[in-house]
Order: sequence, then structure tokens, then C-alpha cells
Amino acid sequence: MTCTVAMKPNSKPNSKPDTPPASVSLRDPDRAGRVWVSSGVLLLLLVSLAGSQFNPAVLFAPDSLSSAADFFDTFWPPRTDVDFLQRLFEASVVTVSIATVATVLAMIVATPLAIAITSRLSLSARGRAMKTPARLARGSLRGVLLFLRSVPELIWALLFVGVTGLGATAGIMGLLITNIGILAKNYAEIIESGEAAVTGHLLDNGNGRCKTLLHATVPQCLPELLSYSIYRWECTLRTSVVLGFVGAGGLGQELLISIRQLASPEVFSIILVFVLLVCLADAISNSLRRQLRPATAGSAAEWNVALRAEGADIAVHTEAAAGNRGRGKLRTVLPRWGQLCLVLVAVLACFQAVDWQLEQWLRPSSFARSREFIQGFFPPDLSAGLWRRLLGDALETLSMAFAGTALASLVAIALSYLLFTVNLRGAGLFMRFFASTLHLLQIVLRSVPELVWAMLLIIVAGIGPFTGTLALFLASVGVLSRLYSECLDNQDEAPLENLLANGSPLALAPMWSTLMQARSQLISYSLYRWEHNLRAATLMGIVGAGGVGQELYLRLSVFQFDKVAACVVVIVVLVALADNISHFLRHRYAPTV
Amino acid sequence: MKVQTTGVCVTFGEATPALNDVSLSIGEQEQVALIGPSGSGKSTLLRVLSMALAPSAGSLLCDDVDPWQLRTARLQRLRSRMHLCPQTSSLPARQRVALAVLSGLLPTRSLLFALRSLVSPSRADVNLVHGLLTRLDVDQHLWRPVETLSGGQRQRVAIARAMAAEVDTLFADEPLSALDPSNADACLSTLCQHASAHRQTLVCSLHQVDLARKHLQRVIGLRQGAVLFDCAAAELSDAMVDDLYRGHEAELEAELEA
Amino acid sequence: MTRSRFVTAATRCLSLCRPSASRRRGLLRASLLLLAGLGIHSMQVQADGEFRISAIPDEAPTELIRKFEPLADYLSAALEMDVSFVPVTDYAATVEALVSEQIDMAWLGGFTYVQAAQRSDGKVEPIVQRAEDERFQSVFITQTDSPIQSIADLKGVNFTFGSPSSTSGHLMPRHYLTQEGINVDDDLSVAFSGAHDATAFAVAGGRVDAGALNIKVWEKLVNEQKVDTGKLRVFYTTPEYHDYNWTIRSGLSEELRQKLIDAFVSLDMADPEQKAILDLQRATRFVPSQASYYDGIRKAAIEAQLLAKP
Repeated sequence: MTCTVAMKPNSKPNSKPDTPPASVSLRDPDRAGRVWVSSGVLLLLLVSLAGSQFNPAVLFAPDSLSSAADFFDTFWPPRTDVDFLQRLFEASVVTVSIATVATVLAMIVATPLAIAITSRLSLSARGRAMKTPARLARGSLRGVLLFLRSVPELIWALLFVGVTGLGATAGIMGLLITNIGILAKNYAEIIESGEAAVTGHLLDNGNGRCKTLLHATVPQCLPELLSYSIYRWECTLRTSVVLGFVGAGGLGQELLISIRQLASPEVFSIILVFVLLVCLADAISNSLRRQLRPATAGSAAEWNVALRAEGADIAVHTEAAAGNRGRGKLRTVLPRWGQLCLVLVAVLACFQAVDWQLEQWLRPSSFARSREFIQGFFPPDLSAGLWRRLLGDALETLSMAFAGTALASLVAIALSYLLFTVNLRGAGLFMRFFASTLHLLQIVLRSVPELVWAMLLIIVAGIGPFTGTLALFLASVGVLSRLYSECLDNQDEAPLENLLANGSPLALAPMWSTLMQARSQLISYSLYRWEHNLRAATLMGIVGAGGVGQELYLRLSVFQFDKVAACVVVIVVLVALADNISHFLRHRYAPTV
Repeated sequence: MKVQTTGVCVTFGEATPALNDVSLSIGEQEQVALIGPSGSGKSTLLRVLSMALAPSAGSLLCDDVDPWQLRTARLQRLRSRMHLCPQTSSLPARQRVALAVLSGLLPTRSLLFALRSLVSPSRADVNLVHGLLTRLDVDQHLWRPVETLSGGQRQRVAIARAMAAEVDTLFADEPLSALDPSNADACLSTLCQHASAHRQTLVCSLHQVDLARKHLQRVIGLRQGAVLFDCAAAELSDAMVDDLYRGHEAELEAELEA
Repeated sequence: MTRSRFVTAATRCLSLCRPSASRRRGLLRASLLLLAGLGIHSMQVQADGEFRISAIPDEAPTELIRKFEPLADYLSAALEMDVSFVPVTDYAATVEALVSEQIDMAWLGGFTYVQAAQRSDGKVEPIVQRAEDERFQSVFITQTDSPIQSIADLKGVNFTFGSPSSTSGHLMPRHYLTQEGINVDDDLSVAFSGAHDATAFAVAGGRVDAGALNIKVWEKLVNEQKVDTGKLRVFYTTPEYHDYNWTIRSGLSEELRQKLIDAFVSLDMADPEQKAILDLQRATRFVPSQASYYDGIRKAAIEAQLLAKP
């Protein structure tokens, strides 16, 4: 039997016979592409700046400055009286509880879904192509999951207000539904990133799905799955703050109320508490995840690949840097079973702390209302007037997300490059101060969700898409500059050292080595962030900061669910589009992962 | 550039020093081979000579200046007069070959060059790079990313980069280790011719004793971090080589077989 | 009592598990029981028999609490039961809460009342309103030096309403704009500031060219000098319409309903304590209200396509 293997030209540089006689073009083959891509990106940026009514001059207009001054003047000192702090403590407990409950429930629901959609455990696909019904079933389930995660948490929650009324349950349902979509997808990806031969072997020897699951998949992927879930918990905690909108309670609600009444000392205290809470969650999650980390270096690389699959916020990656440093700090204090008990008790406590509004759910009228509510969505409104407006809003949303991400990427690359060269130079006192200030800024910028930034910025920049863009920009600078810095720090140092040893200028050498190496990874971070920002941009309209959220909020306010359905369709299409474009670009131009 | 060391010692925290009391002087336009078994300190000596590593004791004089007494900016300027081609490939894996070679020019060219080349190098620069690559028989890879090249091709690109550098001294650390014998011969010959033509000093550590004998003027034998001999290439006898590789005969034989 | 019954049921349910329950299953059962108990616990807290009132968040939440707590105390005495004020952050949520009987009575705007009436199939009922609510108005404001002099000049400008669910901040201004020949969706670039005071501040800050808000809030802002009348001017005032009222949910007893109406209507400016309550409500007295007062608003909402036809 003969076997033809397609081979790319020049894919075997070593074999002499197929090297062509020296006739290589001296024209840079990438030049035209680069010119086109950069001018395209630039054009897109200009268009989206115009589309998002980008006008920094607004920030410095005397009126804006005075209204900002009124608000921010009283920022310091933050409100610290005992009553208030106690209230904040209780609110923090509620916030943590809601996030925990939503994550745990989502884990429970997402696990069977992930098992259902993964092709690894498909019996019909062993040794041949998967059968059509199986493929269709998996495909449509994936579609449903895409839908679940495309609609932002807050929108799910706002929809659920219609069913359950105000309160924690609507918030939990919002977080839960989006989390199910995200967790199931990534669980499946983690399962598929494991060694195919292990599950395949068991299946081929006639074992059923359940046995294979228990004896191959679970032992192989459990640490990754758990670690990813813990990371997701951290993200959920960060997001949960925006659910104050639906009266879910907790810090988010306190924050929204304080912002609405322009009580700046309170706003400042709450933001401080929230940042602390996020940092604490970060530390707990890192400590737990580090213990789950596989010991061998090889699997550690895969590990990060699996975790990086997360599109929304890829701060996970930190782990690579954290590595074995301080591994198992917690373990020295507590044995493993002790930690397990601690986590279990904490989770149970969270379940208790949540106001379940059971009487709300169990009342017969709730079921009738839910049915009526869901029926209200069908069929979605298709009137031309609405869709024309929605198209405009969608373009505005796209502009906001693109402008915010592109500008943030530029600023973040400048900041992290600066920080990188500063660290190269050796740490002077001033530079160390500069670096730690920047670090603090990063933490604050990325802890506070975009929507909260938008609410704060509205005081300065007013109503409109510019505010939304600015909010996306600020949060993204925080996240991207941190990811970029880590990425630069993690590159192979040899090329840089060699350039420096040969006398290259300090400010330029990283550009020719480290940055060159990291390039595609940086681009994929920006693409991930763009995806995330597009989702976030769909919410901005709720606080008056532009985009498709305004129409959605208006229609929700007036209970026109057929029009709400049209808005949701637009949002899902936008998010799915961004998902695919970003996926395509990441694999086309940045095949790093 | 004239390079001189006096009593140079380098310790990396271990009991045995990597370099032990090395004193030697290399004059302008000299072409010197460093030979010796693995771990004899060749790479360390090259790093000391190229100012990449400060000696733990003893002193280094480059054109009668101790570079480690200079301020960082002056030191960096002095470094830009020499080029070190390290043993392990130090080319950024995702960089294209053309740019990797051009990075040899980075220390002496302007900021404008640095920035525009990142986008797309100028025609003149590409011609220069292509000429060098042709002499090393890797010109067909001009626009390929470094990571797609084999070890030997990478090494030749690194040599091309050293040749591109506008410097008066070249240091090369095992530049031929991944090349087959005929290629190694040709590349070393090209490198030596290039150095002579540009009146450059060349210091090159080598495993291939016969190539050292054939192409370079002077041979320095290093053993356990110290200079065992330092003579003209013509004076190098087989007995001296055997002496140098005592206890490491396998390395020498492997080399001869190859 | 309830709890123990539930726990027994839960145990019976769980005992259907296979008899070979391992120790681990025992643990599982214990935690399930714990959860069940906790659920009941929170249910009992919710089920307390108190009368809950709320209000649409047309002003800052603390302002609402300040405004309504004395009223809640007064009602508590009049009804001889606990009355608590539940702050809500969203207009639509207030409507939903009343319709789904999470709260018993709410201070609604005209439009939110119409929404609540529609969503409850007319089961909610407006009982009283302020005398002032019979003749309510909205004002349109712009910057003093702006070229906008009348509604006709608004074509193509940035215009902000308050909350989408607001009667005086959105629905009626939109209605009168349409009456004057402006197509709100096509001729204006519309934003929602979220609240009446936010509208005034947005226009004062120059971020939008013009806006519409509740006349009472405008007067308050001017009297308290929160806005600079040198910077802002009113260029249009709408005709009068019915606005706010107190609406009760369906299923309250006739006795309670009558008690509530009496309590409101008997509030008297002559009594210093009651005057304080009326002042906080910015009312001189309360008068009985009825559903038909809001037919105009319902019509306006249907015309503006903000309410489905019944």
C-alpha cells in the first residue's frame, strides 16, 4: 500500500536535495501583508474612534472637571465608621456567598454537559467518523452552551427579575447560566486536551462510557478541572459586583446605591473593600490551585494550555510564573483533608448565607408567570425600525470594544515594555517605586468591573459611548499590562542577553528579541480581551454609556419581551462573531498555544 | 581591538574555578583558536574577553582600558565594538532570518534603523544580509522564521550575524558544533577570510583541532580553566593535543571520526 | 413545626436509597439535611406577616428612605401592623415585585402603574394620589446659550430622558415630542440618564444638548441651588397629566384597603407631625385615585409603542 503524505514546501530544511538553487527573492515577502494589516487596523481604529464618539477633550472641559472635582474631592478620607464597615462586611459575605453558590451549582450542572459534548467519550466515533445523529446532538448542545455564555450575566439576571422578582436568586441565576456555558465548554476542552490514547484504549477494549470516564478521564483531568473551577470562582466573584443592579445584595448593591447618590467617601470605601476581597480570592485560589498543579514539567505546559482556553479573562496564566514558588504554603499549615473540610464548610456556609427566596419560587403563580414570560420572547420583534436602530447600536458596540481594546493594548504594551526595560536596568529606588505604583494601579484597574468604571466615568465624561469606551479601556489596561508584563518576563532570555552583550542599546534590545518572541502571544491576549470587551460593551448601555445595552434596557423596562428578544439575538450574534473571528485570528496569526 | 587579561579567575560558586589565573594578550587582527575538552573554560574565557562576564579576580584590558571600571553607558559603547556569537543559538525563534542577521548591526546603527527594520528592512540591508547568507550557503532561507531552521542552519545564520556586525573584534563560541565536516571547513574559512578582509580580530573556540590548525594563526589550549599552551598554529604538535585531551580522549576521537 | 415536617419528609425520601448506604452516603445525607433545614430557615424569615411598601427609584435611594420611613411608621400605627420600606434599585423591578406580590403597596409613577396594571391583568389598584399629581408636568431644559428655543429646534440634537420607565422623565415628554412632530427614534440621538437629577446634571455639563425631567424635581433642584439657572433654562413645559399614585397589590382584604385609604386621606397639614410627613412627600394632601385617571398615559404609551395593546 502506498501512502501519500502532503508536505509543505521547505518543511524539511535539513534535507539537502530539495533545497532549490539560490534564487531567493530579495523582496520582503511579508511587507505587503504587514502594510495592509497595519493600515487596516489603523483604519478600523479611526473608524471605531469616530463610532464611539471618542473625544478626550470632554474630560478636560471645565464643566466635567468641576463635576468630577465635586465627586472626587470628597473621596478621601473613605468612610470608615464602625456601622458602615460592619455593613460592608455583611455585604462582602453576601457577595462571596452568591459567587460561591453560583459556581458550585454551575459545576454540578456543567459536568454532565461537558461529558455529553466531548467527542473523547463518543462510542460511535471509535475507529470511524462519528455518526450523524451523535454529531448533530453534540453540535446543537454546543450551540446551546454558546448561547448561554454569549449573553452576559447581568442580562440573564435582568431577565430573571421578571420571573423571580428582585433579589439574590435573580443574581445567582444570571451568574449560574453564564457559568454553565463557560464551564461546560472549558471542561470539555480540558478533557480533550488530555491524552487521547488513555480514554481510547479503554473504549476500544469494550468499556462503556461511565467506566471510561471514571477510570481514564477523571484520573487524568481532575486536577485541571478543579483548578479551572476555582479560577472561575474568582472570576465570578469579580463579576458578581454588577449584579447589584438586580438587587442581588452584597457589595455590588451597596456600590451602585452609593454611586447613584454620589456619596464618594462611601464609594471609595466600597471599592477598597472590593479590591481587597478580589485580592484575597486571588490568593486563596492561587494557593488551592498550586496544590492541584501536576508535578512534572511536561504536564505543566499542557496545564497552562488547558487553562488558557478561557476566553474571558486569562489571568490564569500567572500560574506559570508563580510555578513552584511557595508551592503548598497552605499545606504546611493544614493537611489535605483539613483543607477539604474547610472548603466544604465554607461552601455550605455560603449556601446558608444566600437568601433563596424559596417562597417566591414555590408559589404556583411563579410558574405561570415564568411561562408567560418565556412566551413573551417569541417570536422576536422583526420590525424594520427596531432592527435599523439595533444595527446602529451593534456598530457602536463593536466600535467601543475595538477602540477600547486597541488603545488599551497600545498603552499596555508601552507600560509593560517600560517596566521590562526598567527591571533590566536594575532596580533603583525610584524605579522600584515606579514599578510598585504601576502594579497597584494594575490591581485596582482590573479588580473593578467595566460597568462600575462606566458608572464612575459618567460623572466625568457624561452619557454616551465615549464613556463606555473609556471604561473598557481602563479595565483592559489593567489586565493587559499585567499579562503583557508576565509574558515578556517569561520569554527565553538568551537572545536578549546576547544582544546586550554585543553592545545593543538597552532600550532597543528587548524590541529585537523579547518583544519579537512574545509578539504573537501578546496579540492573542489582545484578541481574548477584545472578545471579553465586546461582551462587556453590550452592557454599557444599561448605565447610559452607549451600545446595544441601551435599547435592551429600555425594552426590559417597558416589558416588551419580543423586542428584548431581538436585542438578545443581536448580542448573541455579536459575541459569537467575535468568538469566531478571534479564534480564527489567534490560530491564523498567532499559532503559539 | 587589542585584548589583554592578567590573572583572570572566574568562580561560579563551586569549589573548582571555571577559569584559573588566565593571562594572555591578543593583538589587533590576530586570529586565535581556543581549544580544549568540554568544561575546560573556553566559553567562560570568551565571555570574559567579550565583556559579557566580569572576572571574579584579575583584570581585563581592552585597548588598555579596563571595561569594568567604566560607567554602564561607556561599557555598552565599548561592547558595541565587538561581537560575541554564543554557542547555543541565541536567535529569537520567531524572528525571520533577515532580521536575525541584521540584529548584528543593532549596536552601531540608529534608532530609525532599529524601528524601520522591525517593520520591513531596507533594500540595502537585505542585499547585505543576502550576500552574507550566500557565502554561508543558507541564502534560500532569507525570509524564513528562525524556528523553522535546523541546528546547523541556525548556526550559519548566527555566523552571518557576526559577520554583519560592524565591529573590530569577533568572538565565536563553538560556531561549527552542529555542522558536518565539509560545511564546517567552508564556514570557518569564510569567517576567517571575512575577518582578515575587515581587519578584525577573531577569537574562536573550536572542537575541531585540525580545522584550528588549518585556518587560524594561533592556538590557545585550555585545560581545567588554565592555559596549557599558547603557540602559533604551525607549532601545534600531536603530543600537545594528546596532552590537552588526556582523560577526554573520547571527545577527540569522536571529532576525528566525524 | 414546618421545619420538622420537612425534615421528616426529606429523611423518608432519602431512606429510599439502597440499604447498603456507605459511610460516605451517610455524610451526603447529613449535608442534604443540613441544606434542607437551611432552606426552611430562610423561608420562615421571609414569611413574616408584615406589610411591605416600596417605591420606584426616581430619586437617590437614601433620599427615598428618608422620605418613606416616617410614612411607614405612620401607616404602621394606623394599620396596627408592622410596615417596612423595601428600597429597590430599578423601576421595572418595582413593578415586578408588586405584580408578583413580593411587596404589598408601591409608590408608582403613572407609566409604571399602567405597566403594573397590564402585567397583573388589572388586579393592582391605585388607591390614593397627591392632590398635585392630578396636574403634573415635565420641563424641557437646555443650556442658556444654546440655539434651541422650541421643540422644533430639537431635530438632530443629543437628547436625554431620565429612566426609560419614568412617566415625567420619558413617556410624557416623548408623547409631547411626537405631538409636536418630532420622531423621537429618528430625529433625535437619545440617551437615558437614569434619573431626573442626572438629566439636569448631564445637560448642565454639556454632555447632551437638551433633556426632559419632572417639574417637581426641577423646582427642587432650583430652590436648593443644585443647578445653576445661569447655565440652564427651560424652553418647553408640557401640558398637565396625572402622575404618581400609591398602588396596592391584588388580594389584600377590603378592610385593609379601606384602612389604607383612610390613613392617607386623613393626613392633615394642621397636625405638625402629619405635616412633616406630607412635606417629605411634597404633598399638601392625599386624595383617592382611580384607574381611569391613567387612561391618557396608557394611550400615550401605546402610541409611543412602549406598551402592547391589551
